[in-house]
Amino acid sequence: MLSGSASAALSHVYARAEATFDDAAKHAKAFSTGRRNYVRQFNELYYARLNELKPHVLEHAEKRWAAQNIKLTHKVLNVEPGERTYIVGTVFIDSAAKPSTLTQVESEHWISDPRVPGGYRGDGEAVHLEDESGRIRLVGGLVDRSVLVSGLVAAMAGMETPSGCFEVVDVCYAGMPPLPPQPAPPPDACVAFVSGLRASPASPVTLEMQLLAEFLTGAVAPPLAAQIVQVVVAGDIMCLPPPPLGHSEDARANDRSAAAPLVAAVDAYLADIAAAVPLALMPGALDPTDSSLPQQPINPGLFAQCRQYSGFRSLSNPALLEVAGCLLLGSAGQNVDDIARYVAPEDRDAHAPSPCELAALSLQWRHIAPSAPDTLWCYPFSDRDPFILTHSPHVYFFGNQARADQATARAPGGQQTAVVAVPTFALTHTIVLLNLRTMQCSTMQFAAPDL
Amino acid sequence: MSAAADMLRLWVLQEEQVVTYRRLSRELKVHVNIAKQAMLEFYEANRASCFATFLLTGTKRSGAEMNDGASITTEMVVKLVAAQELANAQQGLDAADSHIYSLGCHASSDKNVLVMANISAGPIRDIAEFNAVGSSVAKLPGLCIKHVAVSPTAPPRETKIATAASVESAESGAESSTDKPSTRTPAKASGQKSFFGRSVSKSTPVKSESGGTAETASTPVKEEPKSPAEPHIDSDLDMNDVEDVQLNTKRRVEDMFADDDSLDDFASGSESLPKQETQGTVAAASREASDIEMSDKADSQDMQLADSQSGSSRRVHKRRKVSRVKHTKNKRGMLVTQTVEEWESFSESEPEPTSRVTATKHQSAGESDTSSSSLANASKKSIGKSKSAVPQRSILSFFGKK
Repeated sequence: MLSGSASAALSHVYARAEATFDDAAKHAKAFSTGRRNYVRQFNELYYARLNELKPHVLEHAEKRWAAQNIKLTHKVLNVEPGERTYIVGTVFIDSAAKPSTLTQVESEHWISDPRVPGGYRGDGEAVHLEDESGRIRLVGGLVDRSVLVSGLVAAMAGMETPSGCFEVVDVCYAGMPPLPPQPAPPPDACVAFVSGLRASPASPVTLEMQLLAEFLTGAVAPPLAAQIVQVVVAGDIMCLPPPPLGHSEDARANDRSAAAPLVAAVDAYLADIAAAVPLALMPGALDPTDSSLPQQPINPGLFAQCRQYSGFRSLSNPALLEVAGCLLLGSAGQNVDDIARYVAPEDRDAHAPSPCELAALSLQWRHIAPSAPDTLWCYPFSDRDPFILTHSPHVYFFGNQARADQATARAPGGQQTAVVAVPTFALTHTIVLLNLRTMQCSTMQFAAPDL
Repeated sequence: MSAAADMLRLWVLQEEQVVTYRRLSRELKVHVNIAKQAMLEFYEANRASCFATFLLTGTKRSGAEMNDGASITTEMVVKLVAAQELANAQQGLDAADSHIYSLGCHASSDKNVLVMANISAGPIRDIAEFNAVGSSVAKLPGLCIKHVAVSPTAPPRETKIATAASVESAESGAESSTDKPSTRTPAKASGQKSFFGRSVSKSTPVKSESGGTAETASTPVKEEPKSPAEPHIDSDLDMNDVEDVQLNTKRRVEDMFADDDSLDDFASGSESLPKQETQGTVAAASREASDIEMSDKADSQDMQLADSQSGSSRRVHKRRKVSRVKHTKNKRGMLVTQTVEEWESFSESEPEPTSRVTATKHQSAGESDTSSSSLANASKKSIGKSKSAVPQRSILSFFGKK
């Protein structure tokens, strides 16, 4: 029989750390497609991207090369042979390794499940820089060594060769935008990042997921759990079986009867977490929402139990949210994975940049998904490019990675952004905890080996 | 803790169940730490006859490699271990802490056993008040799907609320119709329908007394599912209501396509055409239009059969010959559109449909087995179904078989 004091000690309830959050509508429109119209081409998106990023690229290029007496050539077709100059435009990589819609339609008569190759660069590729006037081919060792992505707006310094190509000696990007002011964060407030739960009809809830829920709700390691002020699930919450390729009228292809109990089970599971701590869900490639970026929030109607709690939010992918005054930008990882496919083949094994480094590089580009829409499916925006950064986030996280990692993106002005890679929980059983005060990450692994 | 010991003796030793601390906490309505302590005491008293699993937490001793000082250096572990492995597992961790997780009568290497034990323990939010960490969110009072009030006297539908949730809402002082026992009694079916086209349930009506205006005037539809894996099944619908819903659905489907004149140009012809091999580029619009029409006809046939089987109204059924567009794949794997004639039954009480002269545009493939194509102008007269506001079904019906 427990004594009163012992019982009181055991019954101690830790108060969860408090934090301020942004209004749900504040950043809701950042990646909203609104009323959709697919009767337009993607040139408007590229045009908007070039118009918005070009001034920033010119600003940095002027600072970088003016002292070396390298002048700007306003149009790529006006480059004079033998003259050192720099040009600004959009990178385009023409490679046979890139997926081709026409080829897929010809061979398979269906493009709803495109086969994504391992890499887009290889032999026979041609890298171009394109602006309103035309395009010019880029050559040189720097072109082969640099991580260049189709859709990237950059300035290239060099000289035109006798063959009409442009030999690149230096590259300049738009640079990181300014960081918003960050108020003093609460002491020891943490954000828990989870990604890739991949609940399947065969096993909607696993033992590791149950341990995760017990930790987040405070039944396990309560002093640490009490510091968590926000839980973000970055994509791939569910893993619906892919439909068989076939005619759209095929009843077997459209059979989604297995999804209903899965959705209910996931809703019940996430409601346990939502009842204890603010929960934000982001869709991923496997979730029931758009397949093209930006993925719109999963319909909250699928989470009837989670919606009963005030801290539940269904976000888009990518998404912006504020926690304790920190601006968090996140994605489910498709954009970073697509950028990784542009790494040159010879660099992939030996000196392959890590996903965190690529994500930090994308912040330097001021664009988190430059390969959209060329190799990354994207909605055809006409008046804006939502993936362009107007403000640097304090934290940039992306999910569904092979392992947890952290890097820091530093701008010349001294501003820093913590870049966090969140591993796939279904494979690694690991989550990432970010301390908002120190901006340091730690991982928590849930293991249930053979008992 | 005699109650806890008795309970554990019954579950673990007699019924040979696997019991977690959450289940004990829920049954005894005590703090989770008190439940863990009770389980530990029981295990130490009955080591020979039961098997324990412990949850071990700690920090991995070998940290991550330093990489510019920015890499992750702290790796924590939450690990389930058997009692006999606990000592070994603790040696590999710093700041290790453990507590008992489950008790069983024999060791089991199957993780699903613990999964099912946790599921049988119920949702974690049910024991939120007994958790070691307080909640920082509030349950939204009376949050339900907004729906149109059918009648001011329509009583609310019975809903199941988790214990912790009802305690929370009571503490917050939130008024909700679902929290009041007096409004839980189901109402008698009076031919009234909820927003989703479901009838109000069958027992006697009860005057609603709750304060929520939208809630009392309407019928909350959703009930919490009985288990995480089981979808909710509404048992209050009777056969008449099912047929009414189907009939309304049929009308709504027909209304969706009744005014679309562009479909007229792509309706199939009345005579069956021989198989034609296309280039695989049948006009997308024509295919889509004929597909919509085909699904429309299929729905129409299903509705009519449901009506005929209901027995709710006596109708004279006849059969008529209609043309349908079917899509198949030929031996080359190309999509082929084929018009076939079939017989379908229809009710004599229904107005005669106007002749659906459909036309399909076929492109000459240039192959040896293709015949000359023909294009017929078609006109489709709307059937004349009045547009009525059809109640919307649950969003989860989207996942049903089409």
